[in-house]
Amino acid sequence: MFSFFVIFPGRPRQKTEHQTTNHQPTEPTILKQQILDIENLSKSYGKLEALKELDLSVERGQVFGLLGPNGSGKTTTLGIILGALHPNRGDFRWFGERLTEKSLKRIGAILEHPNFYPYLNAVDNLKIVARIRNSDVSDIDRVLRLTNLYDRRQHRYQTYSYGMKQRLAIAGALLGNPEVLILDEPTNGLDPLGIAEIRELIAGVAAEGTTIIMASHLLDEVQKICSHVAVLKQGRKLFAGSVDDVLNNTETILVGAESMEALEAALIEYPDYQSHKISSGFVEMKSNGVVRPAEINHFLFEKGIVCTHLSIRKKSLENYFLEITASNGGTNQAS
Amino acid sequence: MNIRNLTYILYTEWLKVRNYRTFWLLAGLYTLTLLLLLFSLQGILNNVTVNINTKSPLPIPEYPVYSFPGVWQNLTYIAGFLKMFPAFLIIILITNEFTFTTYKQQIISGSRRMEFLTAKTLMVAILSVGIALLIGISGMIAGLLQQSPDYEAIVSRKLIFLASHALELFTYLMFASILAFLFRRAGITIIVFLLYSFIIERILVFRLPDAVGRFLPLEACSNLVPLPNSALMKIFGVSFSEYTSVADAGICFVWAMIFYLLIYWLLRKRDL
Repeated sequence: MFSFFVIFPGRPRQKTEHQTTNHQPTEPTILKQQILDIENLSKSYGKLEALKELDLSVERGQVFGLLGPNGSGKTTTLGIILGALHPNRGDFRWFGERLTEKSLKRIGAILEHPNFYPYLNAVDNLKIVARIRNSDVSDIDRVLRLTNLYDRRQHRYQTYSYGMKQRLAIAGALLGNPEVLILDEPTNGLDPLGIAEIRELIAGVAAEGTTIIMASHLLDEVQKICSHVAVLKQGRKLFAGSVDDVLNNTETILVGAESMEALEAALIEYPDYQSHKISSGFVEMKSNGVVRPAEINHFLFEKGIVCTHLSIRKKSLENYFLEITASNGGTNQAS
Repeated sequence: MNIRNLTYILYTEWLKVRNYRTFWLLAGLYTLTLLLLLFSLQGILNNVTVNINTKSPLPIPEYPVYSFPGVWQNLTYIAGFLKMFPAFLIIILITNEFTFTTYKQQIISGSRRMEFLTAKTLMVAILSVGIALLIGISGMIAGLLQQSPDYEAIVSRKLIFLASHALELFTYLMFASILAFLFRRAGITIIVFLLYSFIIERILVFRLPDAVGRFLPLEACSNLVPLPNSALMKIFGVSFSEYTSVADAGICFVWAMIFYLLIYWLLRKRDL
């Protein structure tokens, strides 16, 4: 998070807003700026509790990933903070204030599916969005080029593939260069090339200092784009923190040998040993700190064990996600 | 809400319908049917009169549909039979916003719910006034083709029927609007609308005493332009009101306000 700001210290526009945060003159004010503050938010649909006492805060410049299996409350959360859904309990503040049309105009958002008039072309659809957002119509060409839709701009929306519709939704959210971008499953329905393009696009927007809040069930995507992450399951927050924290504190190594029992016994004595489990014929060991394969190999050889397999498993968000959701009871629906 | 806001909202609505072929096709068909009905009315009535006269013991005189000032009441009365078509148009325009989920997008993009309601109410008002004007122009043309201009007769008290018809349409379309906002899907809205207007309210009006039945919304709309007195009516000694009653206009206006406020309440209360 901190390094993020060192590299991208924000856009000049930030000077004009939030001049109230001048109580810490020693630090650049943008460091501490709360964009969104969610407190104790709950929402139920009849008997189904979609969201339970959610607390969350997002600071300026963060690329915040909202992770969770389908039905975990991601879209509900985004719906509430965008004023589309009424929460049963709890409160949230944008830019330190209650939600108003004014604050919504500082946010570009897509929620669930792309929402456009099927019989209008891309330009006409975006004209309507631009008028509602009070942004300049001349910005339309820029966002269409950014999302690779410029060549098809005169075609009616209903002739678009799902991927193009999704890109048009992102184009609409980018209109007027908002301070905050909210993306609900932005790569849904895109092909691998499209996913890569959108990822690049989001990274570019983030690099300009835009705060991004993104819901996704694609862990790989969040890992590649996000600086911070919150994990939701069945409406509850299981974890919130920086992606680096998730990925850095432990590493895993896969070890194979003739005798699994001997290997297990030996690895437990390894100095950086944290925990282990057997998976598909290998011992999967977690170590404290960085894993050094050569050191482990040497250690085992001295114990009279010859490795038949040795590989580092790069800690991925997916593993972490599976762990955290599984350990909190219930079956894991993550795909 | 100042004038600048209203024109801004209206132009946004214009962008939505400008290239919407279904809308223009339906609007065109309605306009054609309306004009056809208005301009062929005399011919149809003459034909009926001739047919009746072959069997009737009493000679029935021809009824001059387009003579001033009766033309205003005659045409607005007959146009009332086609008013469900603009209602369908409004239902489609409103439910589209829910089907395409563009309403939701507009709200999360920073549009006020009130703005959305204002936009649709403006569309209703424009359609109502536009249709009344079209009938007015048609009446003027048809009348002047038959008789020499007589300023006194043209600008008589009966000219108020054009305004009455505009109010009739406005209230009627606001009723269609609230159903559209309530059900959010065109199919179900149109079915409920037809069921209510042609069956449920008809039964209620039939069952209830007149003093109560006239307060029902669509009945109140229909009462704004009463059936014109024809020579035939006079033969049978029946006489209908020649003017719009202030009470009926008041009932319609109150209903339109109630619908507007109910829609506002619905938009505020409901999740998108």
